[in-house]
Amino acid sequence: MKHLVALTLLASAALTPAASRWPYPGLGVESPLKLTDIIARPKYGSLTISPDGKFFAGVAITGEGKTMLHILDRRTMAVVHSEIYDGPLGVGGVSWQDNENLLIDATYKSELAEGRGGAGLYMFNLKSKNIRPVWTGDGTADYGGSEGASMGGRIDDQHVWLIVGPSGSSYSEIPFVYLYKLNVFTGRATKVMKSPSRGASFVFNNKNEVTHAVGALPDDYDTTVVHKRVNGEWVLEGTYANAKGVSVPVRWHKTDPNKILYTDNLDAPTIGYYWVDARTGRKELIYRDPRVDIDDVVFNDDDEAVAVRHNYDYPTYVVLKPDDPIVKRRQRLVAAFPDDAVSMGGSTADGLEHVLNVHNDRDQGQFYLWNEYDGKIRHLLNPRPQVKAADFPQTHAVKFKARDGLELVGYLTVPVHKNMKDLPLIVLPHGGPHGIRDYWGYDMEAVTFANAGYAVLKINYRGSGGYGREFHYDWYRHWGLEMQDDLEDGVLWAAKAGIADINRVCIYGASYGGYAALMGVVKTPDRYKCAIGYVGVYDLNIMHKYGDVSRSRAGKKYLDEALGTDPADRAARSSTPNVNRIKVPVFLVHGMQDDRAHFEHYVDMRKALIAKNHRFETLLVPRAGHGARDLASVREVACRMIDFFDRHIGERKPADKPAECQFPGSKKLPYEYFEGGK
Amino acid sequence: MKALMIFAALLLASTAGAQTVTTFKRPDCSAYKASAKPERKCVRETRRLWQEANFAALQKTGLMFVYMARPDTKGAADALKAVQNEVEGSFVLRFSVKPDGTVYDVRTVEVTEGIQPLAKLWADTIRQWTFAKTPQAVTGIEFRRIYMYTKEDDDDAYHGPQSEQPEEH
Repeated sequence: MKHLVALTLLASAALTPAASRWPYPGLGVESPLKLTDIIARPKYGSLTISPDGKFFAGVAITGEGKTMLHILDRRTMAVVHSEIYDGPLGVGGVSWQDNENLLIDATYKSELAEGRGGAGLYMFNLKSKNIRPVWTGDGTADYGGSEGASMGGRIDDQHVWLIVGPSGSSYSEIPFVYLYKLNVFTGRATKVMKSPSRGASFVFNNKNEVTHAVGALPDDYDTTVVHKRVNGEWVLEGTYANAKGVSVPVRWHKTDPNKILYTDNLDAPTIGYYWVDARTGRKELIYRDPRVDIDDVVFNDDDEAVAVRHNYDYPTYVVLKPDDPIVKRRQRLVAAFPDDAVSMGGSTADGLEHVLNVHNDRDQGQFYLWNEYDGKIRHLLNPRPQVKAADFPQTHAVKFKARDGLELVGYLTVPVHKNMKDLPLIVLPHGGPHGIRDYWGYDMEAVTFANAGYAVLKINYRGSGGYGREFHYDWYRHWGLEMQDDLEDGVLWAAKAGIADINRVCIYGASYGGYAALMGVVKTPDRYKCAIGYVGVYDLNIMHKYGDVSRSRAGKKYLDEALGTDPADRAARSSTPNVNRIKVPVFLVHGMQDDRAHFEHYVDMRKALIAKNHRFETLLVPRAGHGARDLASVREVACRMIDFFDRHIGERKPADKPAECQFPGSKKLPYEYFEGGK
Repeated sequence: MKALMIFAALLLASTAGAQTVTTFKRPDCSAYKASAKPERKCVRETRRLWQEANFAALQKTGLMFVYMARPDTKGAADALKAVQNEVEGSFVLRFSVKPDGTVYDVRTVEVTEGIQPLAKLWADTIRQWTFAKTPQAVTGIEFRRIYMYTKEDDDDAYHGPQSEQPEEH
């Protein structure tokens, strides 16, 4: 209800259209922001403060994809040193080892990379300005010398834990990992142990001894295997089917050597936190919400839970101990930033100064310094000085009932320059689909389309993560069924609420979202005026056979579970085999190196559309994998999509000529317009 | 009640007008008897309240830090030794800030036996503090610190290279 009131207020406000600064005539309406400004990378992606509070370390990525490490003097905020990495390596993250040394988690840069793979650890010294490798695979040969590693936490002033596993994802089974103790000054890595289960993480007690390992079976992403260490041997504590509930150790109590913190969704579908007595196994519930998983618990110095955080709709803190000093401190932040989400980006060693990243739906994040001694919060850096938050569209959490009565949460992003009534609507289902969800906050795609004049509705449809194991797992094999209906129900809600014009609705998504977009115009051909599939899955039988997921045993098992084992049933829930049901124009965008939603999906769908003589457009990104990464491609893809929406639910006509999306200095991507129907 | 006792100790310290060297007396920790680790709890709460007294003293002035130096024990061997030997005690300093934001007139108001090197170290540190410009000088800002240790455990302390003692957080 609160959200509906907020929406009504916004709708009644007569918002004056801003002067057009859209650089491409014929595209969009009054757009406060330039596309190039929306997709531009922020000047600083992260900022951390040194333990003595004298310096900040900031990581930036240039438009060309180079990563830069800046050292800033805290007194003046002047950059006193910069390191630019323009080779194959980049800065993934930094942490202060001490006042003079920064540990750099290096990454490989690749336009094809899904994530950015680990490339070792390096140490940067502030005094000498030298950077030297700490660990680049030397000293480990557990996977034939092609290991990757991630930091597993700090042990002391000289050592960190290193979790070593194989590089890449071409292993047929989920691999074991190895735990090393790494001296960050000498580079000496000492193997401590091999994980008892696959892809494991480790739990340490207050003496830095390994007590538990949490991993998976070799061939199953949807199991959790928990081992505990007893007298130097691993003992199986439990093997859990994630769909039926898991109980996972997180960490030991700070002062009580018998208490260990667990997350648990055995007793109820949603994740709650428990203290467990390690001697008796007795569980003491800290907090659980019946609707949504708990994401985080805030503890005080005595390790009492004082607040919990969840994201049912908006980010929400539930206070458990209102008088606790930590809660009071946090409430000061809430008072300072009532409409924002605040995350801590590191603190000084004395705990008196903290870097804050303050972000919301209209701002990717501002950096502040909170000094608890003087009580002041001081603005440090604006990573995107070229834009004003007020020009960005707002995003509201919305709730509605699906046709079977299930409550769903979504996020509605609305243009700043239009009244919120009868807007053209883009439904934007997230990828995944299982276990992934949308959150309230800044979303570049939603902002891009809302800035062009469209309302954008993202929905945590059933099968999404975060709302409990039943919401997540019960909808395996329901692709194209209730999962699809939830999206249509969102459209119907938005139309009934007067926000959306039911006659001007398109559906767009990437990966699974691309599946849902094309299935939308297959299943309900009259609901949508157009569809865009981006790196989409269009045939569940192709997905079952091609691509990186199908190459591992765990991936195959997942595909059987999620897609089903009957080829005829999979075909019935696929868009390419049912292309004849499509009535509206479609636009396919694909990375030619895509190995997740294999390029074959695009090839077959295109053939089917041509065979049907159906009107469609395509845009290929030759060097991209599962989505374009370089800014020039991202910009052209966005421009083409906006143009497509403009012609089908926007200010232009379907028969209008597609706009030019050539940008100065960038290579044009292969674009195809197939008129069909002749 | 326990907070009251600690505040009483704080009040006594703040009424001292000139530097005096006294004998340190631990606050009464009997109020924490019910805690799982009473001494630890008492030490932590005492430190927290002393620190909050610092916060309150500065925050009522409206001053804003431009740079907050931390004590550097390099070249302060006596101070480091006092920490390493876990000498218990406390001190109260008083300082003033010019309109240009620099610190002047840093005085030791009270210090307990054995803690003098730490009081000096902090006085030297505070002289380096810089605040944003202020319309007029601000005088008589109190800074206090208490050093208490517990054998129950010290696992919550950060022992960084520049950390001159287990910190309050």
